[in-house]
Amino acid sequence: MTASNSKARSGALGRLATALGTTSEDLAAVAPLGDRDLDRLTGIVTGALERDEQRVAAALEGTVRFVPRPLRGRARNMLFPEDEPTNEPRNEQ
Amino acid sequence: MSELRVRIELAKLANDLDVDVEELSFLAPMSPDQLRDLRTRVTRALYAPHENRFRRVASFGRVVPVPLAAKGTEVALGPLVAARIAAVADPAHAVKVSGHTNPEFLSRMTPHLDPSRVSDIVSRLDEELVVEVGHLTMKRQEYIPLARFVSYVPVSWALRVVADAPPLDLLRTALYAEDLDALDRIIAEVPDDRLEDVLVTAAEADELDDALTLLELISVPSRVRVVKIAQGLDDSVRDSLIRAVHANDAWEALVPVLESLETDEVHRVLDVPAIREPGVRERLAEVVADDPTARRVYDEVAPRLS
Repeated sequence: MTASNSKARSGALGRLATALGTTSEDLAAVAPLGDRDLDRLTGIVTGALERDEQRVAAALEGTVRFVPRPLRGRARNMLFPEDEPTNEPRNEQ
Repeated sequence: MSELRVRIELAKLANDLDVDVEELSFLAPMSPDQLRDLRTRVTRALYAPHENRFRRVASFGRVVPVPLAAKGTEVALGPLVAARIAAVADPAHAVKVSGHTNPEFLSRMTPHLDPSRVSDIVSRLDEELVVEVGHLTMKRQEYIPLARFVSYVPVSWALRVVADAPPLDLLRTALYAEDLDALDRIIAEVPDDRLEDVLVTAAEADELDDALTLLELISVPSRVRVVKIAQGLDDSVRDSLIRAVHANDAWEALVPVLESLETDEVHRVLDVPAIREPGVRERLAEVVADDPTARRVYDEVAPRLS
């Protein structure tokens, strides 16, 4: 394996590790996969995490609507704090 | 034979990633253990991002009356978020809320639950509630989520869940069990006539590949029991079974079984048209060659198969 191939390889594994919130070393199970398959898997994992994020955000938005309007702002701040990344729209109070 | 186990692991991974299993076909060269390891990491990644948020919701739920918390869970949270919150909730409180929650809703939560994260809750739930939720989940054909719970409920409860299930539902649920020791304990308690129904129905539905996968997953004593049941079935079922064994090259799963059967039982299992097709007996002879006991049994039976 050439140095550039090795770098690309660690890049593909690294991208999957990033998507899964882990390290390349922890992904020994998928290490035998080629770069193309690793990137394909990363795309599938990323898509699943994004769909999950959207579902959770939509469900939590539904939760906010269940809260009486005067308390809705506090509920929203609890469920969608500024310091946590989310797809949640924040314009309804 | 590991190809069948890979198929099962791919189905579980596809379920967790919410994609069609065909999309993961490029992972088929991986071993079942590698796929399982990958799935564990996927599950962890799905749960991790929102844990702090769910902990806050869980703590909020503790300050409202339990019936209101249960109602709010059903009406406002929905099954996905409720499941994620359950994973980080105080088990004692979650048990109280569960007791006031509609079993139908709990069943819809089940596909989103990671049993390892809610084991302290499940272990404290009332048996009747768990069995009812299990029945509802089985009816919704959520085999993979249901099978995850096999090792988290007593065998007697699991048996009640599958007691009246259609044979193929029983097979499909067993197929996806995570804890094979627990699965074996359950199969040991399933009556012979139920296992017979599973084999016959699987043959009729052309799902014997699944039955073979299950056969490989269970212990040798359980395999012996299943094969003893199979040898009492009609020629057509036994023929389909041998065809499936050969098509999947699953003979190695049967070798340890041959040693525990009477010669007449082995003959009965093998004496079907499929055994006389080109390559079938040759492959069986090849597989038993390295096992002196199986070889002896086969040598005794082989002359009677021509």
